[in-house]
Amino acid sequence: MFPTLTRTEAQARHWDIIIAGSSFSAMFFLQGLPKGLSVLVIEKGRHMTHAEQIASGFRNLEAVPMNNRSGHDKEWVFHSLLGGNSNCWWACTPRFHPSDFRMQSLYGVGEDWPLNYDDLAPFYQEVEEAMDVNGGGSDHVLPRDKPFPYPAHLPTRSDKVLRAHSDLWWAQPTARANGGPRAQCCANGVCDECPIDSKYSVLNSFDRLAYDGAYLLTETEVRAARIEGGRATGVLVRDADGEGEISGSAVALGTNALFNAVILLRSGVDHPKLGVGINEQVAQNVLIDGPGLGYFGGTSVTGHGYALYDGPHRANHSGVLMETYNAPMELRPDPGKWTERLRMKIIAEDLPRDDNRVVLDGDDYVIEWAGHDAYAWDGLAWGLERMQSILPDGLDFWGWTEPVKTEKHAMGTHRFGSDPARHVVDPDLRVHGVDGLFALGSGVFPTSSLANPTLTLSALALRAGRKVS
Amino acid sequence: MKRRAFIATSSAAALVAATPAQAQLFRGRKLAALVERCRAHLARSFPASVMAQPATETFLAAYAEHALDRPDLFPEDGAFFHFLTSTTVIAHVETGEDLSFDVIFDPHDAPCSNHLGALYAPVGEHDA
Repeated sequence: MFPTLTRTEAQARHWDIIIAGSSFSAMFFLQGLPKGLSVLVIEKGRHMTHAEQIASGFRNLEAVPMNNRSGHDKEWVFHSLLGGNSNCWWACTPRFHPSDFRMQSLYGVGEDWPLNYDDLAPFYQEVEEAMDVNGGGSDHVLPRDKPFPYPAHLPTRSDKVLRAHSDLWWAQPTARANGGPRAQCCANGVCDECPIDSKYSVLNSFDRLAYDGAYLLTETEVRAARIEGGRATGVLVRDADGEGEISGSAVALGTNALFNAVILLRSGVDHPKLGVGINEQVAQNVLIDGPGLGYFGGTSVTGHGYALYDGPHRANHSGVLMETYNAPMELRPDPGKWTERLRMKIIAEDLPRDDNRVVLDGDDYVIEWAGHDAYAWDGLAWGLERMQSILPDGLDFWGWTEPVKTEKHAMGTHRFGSDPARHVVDPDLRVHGVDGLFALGSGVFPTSSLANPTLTLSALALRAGRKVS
Repeated sequence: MKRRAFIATSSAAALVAATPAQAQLFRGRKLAALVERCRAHLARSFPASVMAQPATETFLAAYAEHALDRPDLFPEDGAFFHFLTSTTVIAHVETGEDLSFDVIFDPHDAPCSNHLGALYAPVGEHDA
């Protein structure tokens, strides 16, 4: 745990770097910084221990104001407490696919990222080691220089059936422990509030996140960056006692895609793309029946399927990533076939749209939500239609659910790239036109990928920290 | 209507005034009824040889205690789910291992007792 300060104590100093937020991007940016800096980490929420969270079930879920004109139910999930969404994620840690970084070049869709898979690979590896990620079997599609830090969890019967059919099914890389200092995952199916603290979180990894010279200020919201003469000189904060300013030579926004954009808007950053294009993946659960399916896997989400992920179809619509579940499990009453049912989630990528945006509303903000792009919906429909053709013989749909209301993966609100006219943030995550101001996290993603974003946003933040001299 | 109202009122009064022994009796009867409902439900899916196991009886009694005060549950469906996740019934049917029951799987109260996870896989399940 970092040493903590009061606001008055924090205001009495000038900091080399002030970091807003305390979840993945904030902590991995901190890890990347050169040694010897004075760093203040400011967290809006309070410190709730893991035990407190389990006992109370309370994790300070933000109420997000939204004008939803999409015709579909929509939710956004952001938890304001020390460690942020690292307390509540499911610890799914795939790398992005190499093609995800080149969507415009390959398929004429969206925009290329200002870096590629190989650029990010060493940072992926470092974050995987920091999180004790386990996995295996994916190197032919997602190449890596070193093995996963820990071997993959044991597969389910369903995974064995699928993997015998095609080499495009493999173990989902995950930070739900299968070796390392945290408790071994035991597949209880409630990863968002893991009762045994098996998944990686900021709270259970403070020892490894320690940084000499870093201090923590909690229950204090960064409202804006102070920008003077074209450079960041500190932050404006609010707590229970009122508002104030804290001085620093640089500011890094590591809250989330929503609040980063709101802070930048309040800071007076005037860019036509700021807040524009908020998006996230869209997903649907599918139930499949057939002989040989079943459970007995080593973690709650055991498998990934990439057969419908990448390819020419992405010129017209999204592909789908498939996730196989071990828990919570789906069961059948049919005698002798009790476990011959597979719950699978299929996930499609979204594209940023100009009519999805975060805007200020007086002192507050609101999300103007027109809906997921047709690219995502068409991809989901295509995935459902095509799935049958890539399943082994004998497996068949039993049913599917409505699309889920959120994947909890908001992104795209301050996209990065080299062109200051089109991008809010540069390739090193510095806000164009403002010295000493960083905007971290999935807000920088030009396109969303189909895969879970945490490993990628963490690797990007680590890389950005390393670029600080 | 008056007679019904009188009966309802007097029943409620009797309930309020029940002694601990009477309350225990009512609870025991409700438990026994719930066990029978769940047993009948399980018997539709599982063979008689499974239903006759002592561990099945132990499970049914424990599950009834678990479910009785939880009006949000559909008890029969819950019995089916928990029989599969809290006992070794799959291993018993497939490999002849003893049918055993220890605790009702609950992801929060007994998080590592999911019998459909790798920790309780039937013998040989994960042999290379």
